[in-house]
Amino acid sequence: MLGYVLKRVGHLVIVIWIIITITFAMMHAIPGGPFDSERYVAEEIRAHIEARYRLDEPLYKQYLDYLWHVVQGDLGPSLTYEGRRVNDIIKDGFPKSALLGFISVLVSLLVGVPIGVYSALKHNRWQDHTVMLMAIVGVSVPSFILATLLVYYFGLKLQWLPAAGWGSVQQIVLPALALSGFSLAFITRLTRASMLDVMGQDYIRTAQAKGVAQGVILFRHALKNAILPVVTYLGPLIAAVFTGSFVVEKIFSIPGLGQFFVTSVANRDYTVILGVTVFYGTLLVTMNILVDLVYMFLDPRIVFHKQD
Amino acid sequence: MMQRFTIWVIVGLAMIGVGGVHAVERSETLIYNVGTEPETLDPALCTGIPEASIILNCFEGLIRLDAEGRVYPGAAERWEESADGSTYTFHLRKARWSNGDPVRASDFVYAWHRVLRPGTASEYVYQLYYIRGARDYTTGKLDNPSSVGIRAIDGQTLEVQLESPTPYFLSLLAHTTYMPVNPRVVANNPEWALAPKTYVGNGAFQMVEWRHHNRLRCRKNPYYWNAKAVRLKELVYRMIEEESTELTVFETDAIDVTHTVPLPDIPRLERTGQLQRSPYIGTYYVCFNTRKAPFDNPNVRKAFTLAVNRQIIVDKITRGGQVPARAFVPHGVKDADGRTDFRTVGGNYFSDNAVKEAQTLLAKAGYPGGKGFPVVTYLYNTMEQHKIIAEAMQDMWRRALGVKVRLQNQEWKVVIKNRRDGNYQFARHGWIGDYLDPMTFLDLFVTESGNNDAQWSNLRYDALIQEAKQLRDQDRRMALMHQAEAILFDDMPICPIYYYVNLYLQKPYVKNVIRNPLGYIDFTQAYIERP
Amino acid sequence: MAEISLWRSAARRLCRNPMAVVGGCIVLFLIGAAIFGPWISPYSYYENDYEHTNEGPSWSHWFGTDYLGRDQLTRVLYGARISLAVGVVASLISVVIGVTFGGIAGYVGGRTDAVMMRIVDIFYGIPLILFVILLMVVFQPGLKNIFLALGFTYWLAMARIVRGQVLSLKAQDFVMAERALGASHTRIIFRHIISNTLGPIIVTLTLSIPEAIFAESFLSYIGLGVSAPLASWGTLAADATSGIRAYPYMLFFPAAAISISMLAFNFLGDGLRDALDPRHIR
Repeated sequence: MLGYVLKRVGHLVIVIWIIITITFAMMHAIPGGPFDSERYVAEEIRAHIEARYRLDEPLYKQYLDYLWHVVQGDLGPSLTYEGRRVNDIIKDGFPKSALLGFISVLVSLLVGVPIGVYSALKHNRWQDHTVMLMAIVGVSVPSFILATLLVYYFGLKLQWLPAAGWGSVQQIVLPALALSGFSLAFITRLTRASMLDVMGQDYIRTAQAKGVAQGVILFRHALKNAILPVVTYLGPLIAAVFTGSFVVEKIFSIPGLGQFFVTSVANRDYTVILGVTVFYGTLLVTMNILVDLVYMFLDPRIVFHKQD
Repeated sequence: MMQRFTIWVIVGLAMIGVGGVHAVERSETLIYNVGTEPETLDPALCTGIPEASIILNCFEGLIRLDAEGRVYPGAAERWEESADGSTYTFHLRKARWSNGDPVRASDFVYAWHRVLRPGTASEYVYQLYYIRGARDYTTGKLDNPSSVGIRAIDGQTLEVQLESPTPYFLSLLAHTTYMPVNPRVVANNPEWALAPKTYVGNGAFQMVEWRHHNRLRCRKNPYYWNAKAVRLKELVYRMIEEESTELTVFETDAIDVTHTVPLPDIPRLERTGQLQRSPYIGTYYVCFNTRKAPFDNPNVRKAFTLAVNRQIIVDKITRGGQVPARAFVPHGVKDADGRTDFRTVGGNYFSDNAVKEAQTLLAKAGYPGGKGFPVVTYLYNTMEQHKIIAEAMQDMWRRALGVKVRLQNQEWKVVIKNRRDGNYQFARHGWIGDYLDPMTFLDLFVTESGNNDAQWSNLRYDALIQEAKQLRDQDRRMALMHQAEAILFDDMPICPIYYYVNLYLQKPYVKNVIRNPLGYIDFTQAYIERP
Repeated sequence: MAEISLWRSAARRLCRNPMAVVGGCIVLFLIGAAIFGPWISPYSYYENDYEHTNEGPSWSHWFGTDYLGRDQLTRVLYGARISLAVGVVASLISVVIGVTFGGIAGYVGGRTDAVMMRIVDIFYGIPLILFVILLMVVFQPGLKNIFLALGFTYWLAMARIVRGQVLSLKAQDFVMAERALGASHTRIIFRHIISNTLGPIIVTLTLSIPEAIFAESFLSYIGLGVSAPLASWGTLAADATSGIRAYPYMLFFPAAAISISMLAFNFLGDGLRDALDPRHIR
């Protein structure tokens, strides 16, 4: 167990290194640099700016320097936001994105799993179809449209909630709603599907045949196994929620980290691009490790040393 | 589970710090959406309008600009110009920094030297190149800043010597790059411009809180020399990027002034009277790559220019009161008499929507009715308005000339690079003046200009511009620049579309917000008058 | 013979599922509209009519006109071509990569599997959207690059599913038995693995089409969509979001098109999943 965890952490380090390398190569392949602007900057001035951020050094050296700094936990200075460090930007923005993502995933789980189970129990009856219809409608609206509609109706037409900004509880409601639309529908469907799967398994049928109470079957046997795929998908789901957060953060004007996904690329803010990628990469891989551990916990049939 | 959820939410909210309601009366607070997180608030490093919108309200230069772009005294009470126009002497008024320190002439010297110092790596340092020796110091040809033409004669007197007479030098002084800084907070603190405590200015407001990507709060600076004229107690900058969200927030009264307006809502907002318009010296144009076929042929360029129906573009697409452009230098830039627009004197160089003439020219170029004309690619940076205009022009060129134009959008920095490298056929372009003189536009097309994306070269044009740059006599200067502009349109390396206006929304109770033609916004005299 | 009857009974089960049938019909309708719609329409997607800009739905323009006076219905029909093409091609690319990758990893197993799964981990660790944005900026916006960018980034789930499926099949009693009886790899792969994974593959394919359409709309929203004047549903919707107050119908129709196609593909996919999984027979 401990050995397994250590090995996965070792892999994590390799994964992060490869992520840095790929991202570093790709971002330098994009035409245009951080200090290109519409107004021409004379060579001598540009040289001063590049020297200031040590962009005048050969790429391999910048790359090695960067790695060395990352090892020390330093993601460097932002090239766009004068004087601010990437560590601070992440420290500043991530809790906001995380809170938003956390609420929306939680809402999705708390609502999605029971609905999914219910739907599975009513398989192919009208309740099932209604629930599924609603769930699919949830995944069917792109987040930028959903967010725009929410801002328009609840923020402007009804004026129930503030349309944008960050700082009060009310300001979290709409973006959390916009963000959970997708994951809620997703979890509902996943739960339903795997519940159906499990309910069809022999051991459940045997239990049913033996006359075990429906409730016991449901909670003791079925649900425990049906939740597995949901757990597996939590990793990618959290990733989806974070990436979805770009649109939501932009539309609701939330000072989170999601917006840096796109703006840092547009600005060619190399250190922020790398920093955000490394940060999210570490987060996602860690999440996957945790998911696997939970999986192992829930399903003892999976034996990990088999992987070698 | 539910309980735990609640606890988490509470913890989470505590973590982000739920914003407190501040005590200042809403009637003395103005909220402006600046539209984006400022990249820096250091005047020496500032390059953008959003940054300048904050800096220029926290700092005051030697002179200020009014809504028409005319100069009036700022930190300098009065000034003298030497007979040859190459030396200015400024007499500073008694003023204080927002931390109570007195503002001295030497603070300006310190600030300008700081901009010029290579280590500062200021991108807009060239704004100071008019000063004698400035460029040499920046490029390392001069080691000692004391030989740069900036001198504090005494505590209140500043002398500036120029490389050559520059009639528009005074208006340059309103630029962020020329702002003074307080050496006592700036020296040895590279992060001075980030923290409210050390962000010391000499302007009407001072920063008290900066929540990145969210809001920046300023309060009236009690030490400002003209503090009694400042009626706002608090000035709040919001950083809402999405235009549509900005409009919603405006309509729910959470901001008073916006930085832009969503295109589709312009007619409606115009009807409600909330749409405001201020002059903005800028021109939207199409830039031809004059080095690449088929646009190396002036007749092709002219045909494309004449075939565009600008009236339709401003009436049906932009709808914000933009003026169709049939020359390069926009309205709002004055001619020799200082009153009449350079544009009014110069007139227009071609007619709009001259389809017949365009067809003749294209035939003359060897492509009658568009026959044999290759498919050309129009490049624009990804933005809705540019796309719509591109689609409209594509259809106009197809109908008028029978040519096939492919549209290609690229990301902003990619477009900048491709245009600069001449790696395009024709592309969307725009230019906003840096100062109020035709030179800021015409300078663009001299052969060695780094901004000459048309890759156009005309020796007579170069000579005229070069001569105008040395002159002090405004009549002669302007005449030369008119001549240069005429040459430009003889050869047509660009196809002007319209002159910009500044469009924004402002609540009717907001008074006296000044926007000058360079796009800067001034809240010094602003106030709120509730009915 | 057993295979055929398996598929036939799956088809029968599919036809008995009303949601799946409705979904399938809508998918067919959308494909038909995408192919034939633009031919039938009297308007083109690029001709402007400045006398009739920003008009709401009417008899001559069922979906209204846009900011340049172009017929919105025609634009939505052309948009269907692009959005569906993106959905299908990008999904196919990701399926091919994912199935090959996951299949090899699962079947070969051991060290190969471990290494290959680490590669998947790496890709999981790269925030995909950043990857797509980088790809699109490096290779310029355009239809072909959208296919590639999406296809090359969204194969991970497929690889994992196929690998898992293959792994569990390998451990199943009947495969073990076959192997013990000395059956060749080819026989095992074709007879058992492929036939038993085809169901999940088809299902994932059906479900990844709407996902790709979705992803494309996100790309359009951040300005990395197809080149004007062509427009995908995503582009049409993204362009219309800023005008939701003034011209809500401009957002409504493309948004509805995205949602309906999403619903249809999802219904169909869910139906297929139910139909192809023999364990669901009750």
